[in-house]
Parts: sequence; C-alpha cells; structure tokens
Amino acid sequence: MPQSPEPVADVAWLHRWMAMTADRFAADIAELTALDEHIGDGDHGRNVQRGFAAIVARLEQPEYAYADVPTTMRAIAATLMAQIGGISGPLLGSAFLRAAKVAPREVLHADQVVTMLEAMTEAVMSRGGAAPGDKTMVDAFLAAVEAAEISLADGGSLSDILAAGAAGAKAGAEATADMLAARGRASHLGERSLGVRDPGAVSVSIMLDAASVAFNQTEETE
Amino acid sequence: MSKPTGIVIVSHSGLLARGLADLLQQMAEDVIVTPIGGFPAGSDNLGTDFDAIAGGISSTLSRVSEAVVFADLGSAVLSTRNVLDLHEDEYGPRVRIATAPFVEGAVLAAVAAQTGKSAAEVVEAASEAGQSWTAEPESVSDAELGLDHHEHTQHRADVTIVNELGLHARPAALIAKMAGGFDARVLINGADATSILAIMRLAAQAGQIVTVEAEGSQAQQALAAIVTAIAEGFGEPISSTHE
Repeated sequence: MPQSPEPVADVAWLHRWMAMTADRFAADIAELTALDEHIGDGDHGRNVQRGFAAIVARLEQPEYAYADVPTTMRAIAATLMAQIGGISGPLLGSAFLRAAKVAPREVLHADQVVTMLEAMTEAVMSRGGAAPGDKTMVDAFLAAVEAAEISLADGGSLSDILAAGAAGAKAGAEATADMLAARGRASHLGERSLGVRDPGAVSVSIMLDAASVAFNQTEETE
Repeated sequence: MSKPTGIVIVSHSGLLARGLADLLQQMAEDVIVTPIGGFPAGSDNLGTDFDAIAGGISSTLSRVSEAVVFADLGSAVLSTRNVLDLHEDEYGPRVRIATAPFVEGAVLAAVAAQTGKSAAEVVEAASEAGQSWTAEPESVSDAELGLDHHEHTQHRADVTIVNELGLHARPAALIAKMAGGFDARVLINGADATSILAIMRLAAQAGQIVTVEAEGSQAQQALAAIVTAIAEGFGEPISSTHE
C-alpha cells in the first residue's frame, strides 16, 4: 500500500485549519464564554465561533476552490475584519492580512511558517497596541513565535514547528492567568482579573493548535 | 477645478457622525463629507459597521480623487485601518486616516479641504488641532545641554548577555520600549532595537556578546540605558556561568 504523501502547508491545509478552528470554537464556546464573562461581557466565544464559521462558509464558495495562499488568507482576513462585536475578530483579521502579504503563492516552507507567525504577531501588536504582559492574545502569539523560532533553529520539520507554535501559544495563554489585565474592559477589574486566562489568548492557542493538527491530517489519515 | 479632498466621518454613533458632518458642511460647502456611524450604519444603535465604512470610503473615492477619514475611538479606528489595509492596492495613498481630535481636527481639515488642500496637507492641518492640547515636556538633548556638538553622533558598545533565557520576549519588550523612548536610532547586532520581533529573531543566548549601536541626539543616553539593562540581566535569573 503506498505511503501517505508528506503533508504540505498549502491552501488545502488552510481550509482544514479554518474548519478545525471553527469546530473547536463551536465545541469550546461554553468555556470561552465563561472566561469572558469573568473579565468581559461574555460574547467572545460567540464572536470567534461566528467569525470562523463565516470563514468556512466563505471558503466553500466556488471562487476559492482554486485560489492561492495569499488570496485565501485575504478572504479569511476580510471575513474576520468585518465581524461585529469585540476586538478579536478585527485583530485576528489584521493578523491574517499581514500574513497574506508575506505568504508565498502555493506552499509554505518551514521558515515561511515562522515568518507567517511573526507577521501575525506584529500585526496584532501594532493594531491592538498591547505589549507583552498586558494579558491579551499578544502573550499567546509571542510565546508561539518564540517556540516556533527555536524549533526552526533546531532544524525542526514543519510539523515540529507548528507543534511547537501550538505548545508555545498554549503556554502563553496559561501564563496570562497570572497577569493583570492592562487592556480593554478587563483592565478595569484590577486584581479580579487575576487567576483567569485571557479569552483572546486562549482563542489564539486553540487556533494555532488547530493549525498544527490540521497540518498532519491529510485525506489518507484518520 | 477638481473636487476638493473629501472627508469621511466614522463614529460609533450615527447621530454624532451626522452632527459633525453638518458642522463641517457649514464651513466647507464644496467639500464632500460622508458620515458613517452606528451598527447597523444609520441606525440608532451604537457600534461600528465595517462594511458601511468600506462602502462609504469606496463611494467617496468614486467622486473625489483623495479623501481623509476621521474616526472617533478604538474600534472605529481599528475598523477603518483594516478597511484601508484590505484595500491598500486599490486606493493606495488616495485615502488617509487622520490622527487628530475628532471634532477639532475634522473642522480644521474641512477648512483646509475647502481651500483646495491635498489629502496630505489636510491631514497636516488636522494634526495641529492636537498639538495645542499636548503638554509633553520636551526631552533635553545632549546638544541643548552643550555636551555634544555633533547632531548625529554614533556610539557603540559590546555587552555580554547574562540572563539565563537570553533575549527572549520579555527582555526584547523591555529593550524595545526603552529604545523607543530616546531620540536615537538603536541597533542590536544590526537589528532595529524598537522591534520586539527583530530582537527575538537574533535568538541571542546567555554568554553571547552583542553589539549595541546608537545614533542621534540622545545616542549616549540610549546606549547607556540599553547596555546597562542587558548587563544587569533584566531582573531575571542569571545564567550560572556568569554569576
């Protein structure tokens, strides 16, 4: 029986990544809502779930069947930017737009995946204005970039790099529990924002985990 | 004569956007002013409508060659920036977002537009509205202190990284913030010291020597501050070989 082909970070991967993220958000909506109710207005889970469901619906349109990587990322960006309610949609949208600007046309190689993560992080930092330690999605992104860069420097495969990014984001999101919120609604809570992870950071962690899992998931595997 | 620079008003409030547009139209009757506010746009509900902002800018640019956008707060600014980013290739420099107080800046802008100023000049005029409110003390440079007669002096120093984790995210952020606060251009091993990611990309480890260079009127202060921070290990655990 022929071996499964090596996975590649192509448009098909983007589609799988978005679908898996949408599914994860739908499954985790209760958790995200609870996190956000603690420090925000409770609509974060609904917002990201709706945003990614809209992405999946859009990418299913015939015009995206043969689109290249940058075009697909721009469509993802546009969908997220137009999401109403909360800042996560527009911020993640700006992240994908920046990623679209640096992405190659057909397939991302290992170093390009790291560049993609860097671009996303830069976009979120400059558009959102948050610094590391402010208890936002920036903390998850930065940890993801750091881990991915170490993996790349150590000669990691694309699969390793994406897994490292996911693990980094997860650690970054966990670390936000001990931070005092410095941005947004949560910043008015002071000490009460302690002990609970930032929902935006958790969402980034879920999204990057989906990127990693979706990469290794091809038609031949279960 | 071609149409004057257009003005687009984006607000969380449809009422506020329309009110400001009325005010501007009063003093600039030939300027096309497009108010966009509320979600859904035009309703009484507060919020920002990304699609309406995109549509408003698009229709303005179909009528005039250049436009300037004023957005009231937070998500209005973010959404507007996103629209401009998304359509960068189509619009390019034809549309700009002003950084100015919402009402005062838009008023100065309208007056400038009415007199035929370009988008760049209109943005400049609007920014003057903010300056009269800024009370930032001016930092004193070496030149003013009489300590340094060269306006662009280059300083450099080598310093060993001593903290266990090297220049990871936290120190990178500290350095970037420091570097951004001086009137100087600072590089670490050639990387822009105001960019957290550029510093992190250096992957500088404990024990490694990095070269810090600074140029500009506060080069000396910038260099001293950053070299000291690196040499002291950012308040983090010091690598055991460097205790």
